[in-house]
Amino acid sequence: MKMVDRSTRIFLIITVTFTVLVASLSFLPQESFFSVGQLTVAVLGKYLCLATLAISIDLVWGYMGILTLGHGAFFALGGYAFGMYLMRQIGDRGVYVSELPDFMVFIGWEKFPWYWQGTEFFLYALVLVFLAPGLLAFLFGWTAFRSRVSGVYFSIISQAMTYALMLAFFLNALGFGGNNGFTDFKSILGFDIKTRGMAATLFCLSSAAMMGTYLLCRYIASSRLGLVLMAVRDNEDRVRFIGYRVERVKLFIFTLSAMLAGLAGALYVPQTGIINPNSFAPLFSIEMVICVALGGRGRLYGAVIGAVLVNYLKTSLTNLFPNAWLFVFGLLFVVVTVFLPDGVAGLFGQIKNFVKGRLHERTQDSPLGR
Amino acid sequence: MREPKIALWGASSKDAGGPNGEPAPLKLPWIPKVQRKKLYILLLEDISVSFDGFKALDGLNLYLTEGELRCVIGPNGAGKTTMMDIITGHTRPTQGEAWFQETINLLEKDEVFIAQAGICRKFQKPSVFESLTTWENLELALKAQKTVWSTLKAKLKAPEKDFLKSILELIRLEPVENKVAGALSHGQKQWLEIGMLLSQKPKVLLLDEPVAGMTAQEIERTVELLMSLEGEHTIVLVEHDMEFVRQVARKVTVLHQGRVLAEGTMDSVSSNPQVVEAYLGGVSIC
Repeated sequence: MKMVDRSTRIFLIITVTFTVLVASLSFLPQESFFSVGQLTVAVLGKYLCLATLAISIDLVWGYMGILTLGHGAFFALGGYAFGMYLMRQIGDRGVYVSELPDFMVFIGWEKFPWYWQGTEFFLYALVLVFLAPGLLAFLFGWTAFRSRVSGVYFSIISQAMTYALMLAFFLNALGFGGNNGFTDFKSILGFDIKTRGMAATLFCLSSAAMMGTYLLCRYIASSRLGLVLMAVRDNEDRVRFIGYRVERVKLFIFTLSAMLAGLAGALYVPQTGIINPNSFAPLFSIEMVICVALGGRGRLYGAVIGAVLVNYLKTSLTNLFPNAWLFVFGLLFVVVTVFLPDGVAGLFGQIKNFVKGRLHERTQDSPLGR
Repeated sequence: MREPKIALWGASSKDAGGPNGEPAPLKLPWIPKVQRKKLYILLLEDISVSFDGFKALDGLNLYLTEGELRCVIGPNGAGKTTMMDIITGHTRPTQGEAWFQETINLLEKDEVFIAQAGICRKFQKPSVFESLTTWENLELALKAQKTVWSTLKAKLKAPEKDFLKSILELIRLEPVENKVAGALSHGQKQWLEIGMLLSQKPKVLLLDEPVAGMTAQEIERTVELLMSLEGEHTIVLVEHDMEFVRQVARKVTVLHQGRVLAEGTMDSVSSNPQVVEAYLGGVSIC
């Protein structure tokens, strides 16, 4: 398998075109028919961040077969890590005119706790974006994989992990703003966060992060390690008997995936303007897993299609009928599971196979080999 | 290290003399253990395993010389699969010793180490990776440094490609090189799994019922395949199909109730009254 295969090329062309188009149109005068509003740019940027998260889930679930229902935790940790920097950027422009964030003043703290030290430096915050989720994933994965926790047990534990973190982040005493979380951001690197230029920049960065994540995951998937991942999905024990240390492979991929999720979270926060403990809610993680399933797992671009499609529907439907969204979501999931077992992305392959009448030859479009 | 209690070896200590006064199956001159380890590529001595009081293996001894093809037969529950589990590090025995290539103590190593050291196992149920192609299955198994990083960086070099091609030819799966393994026939899966073992350049091959569920024609091909491997690799073959065993075996070990009941050529063991008794309750086995 070559690294830049056809699907990767198509994916890159579409993404780059879309990014350049949206970013340049966002600078047109607002009266213009083609103008893309600043809010729309931010919403599209959010989709890209969620797509990045979906790709990282696909690497773990689609390729390695580990259903993680707690990936939102890594996303949120990345978000909080960068959120700390954004809070420090507010400086004394807060309500209480203090160097400390408002919530700290509110609970009567007089100085930053130790884990806030250094977060005023952009580069350190960037390191933290990868380090915090990576470390959690490493410790969590190390304990779980070493004791050979797998299958549905792993899924449940990962869900419990994100739920526990949610409860912890709700506490004011933890020093992360309690149930209000971080909000009211003012600037990044001294630049005003509420300008058009910033919206376009964050959008472009989100797009670049997504493409980078995609390429990295594609590189892994098409290497021999990618074969090992798929083999682990098929028959984990057998992989041990041909001499691979399955635990280490799992730990490496899981940690890497968590770091990518953290990056997605870090870019998500300045575009939504808020991060609070609800990002740790198990429902969010489950929703993202369903996005991957809808898009078609085990092919990376399927995750992107799923994440963008579902979140686009979510945004438009919650505007039109606020109560209907969960029903539509459920219905969508049932329909896709029954009629498109390979997801929306599998549709191309299904049509192709139907036309050519070859059901067993694996093409680039059906990596699960069904 | 404790010397096993037996002075006469080659069979279980419990068999020396036989329960009803029959002659012990094998009596060989005693050799010091250091020599024994040098002499045999794989040796199991006095291995016992019990699961909740049930003794799956009970003082088992097995000695394999390099390059031999050994068939292990025995009725259900004789301990054949448990023996393989011990050798591959999947199960730990309650007592006994297991040595590979003189220096490797198999009882201290895990499955991954043992697999990398060159003991490769084919499972009873064909277990190839169904969503990978035939070629990818072979590439995955290929002998190489199998750490995460080197696997990520691994590229097939020309000699490795030729090697995999020669295996494909040997197991006759060239036409289905790019087919996913899940779409192969039962017999082809069995061959692919044997191919995957060969791809690891093993020193010892453990084959658990490789012809189960094969057609007569496929069995014939498998016999050819195994005969061509003899001498190059040490092979342990666990099999139920007597006709197949008769075709390939030079030396047969009969297990019964976790012990070695008899050892020798197919003819000598099949005429052994104890074996006949154990196997089919008195009916001749062939």
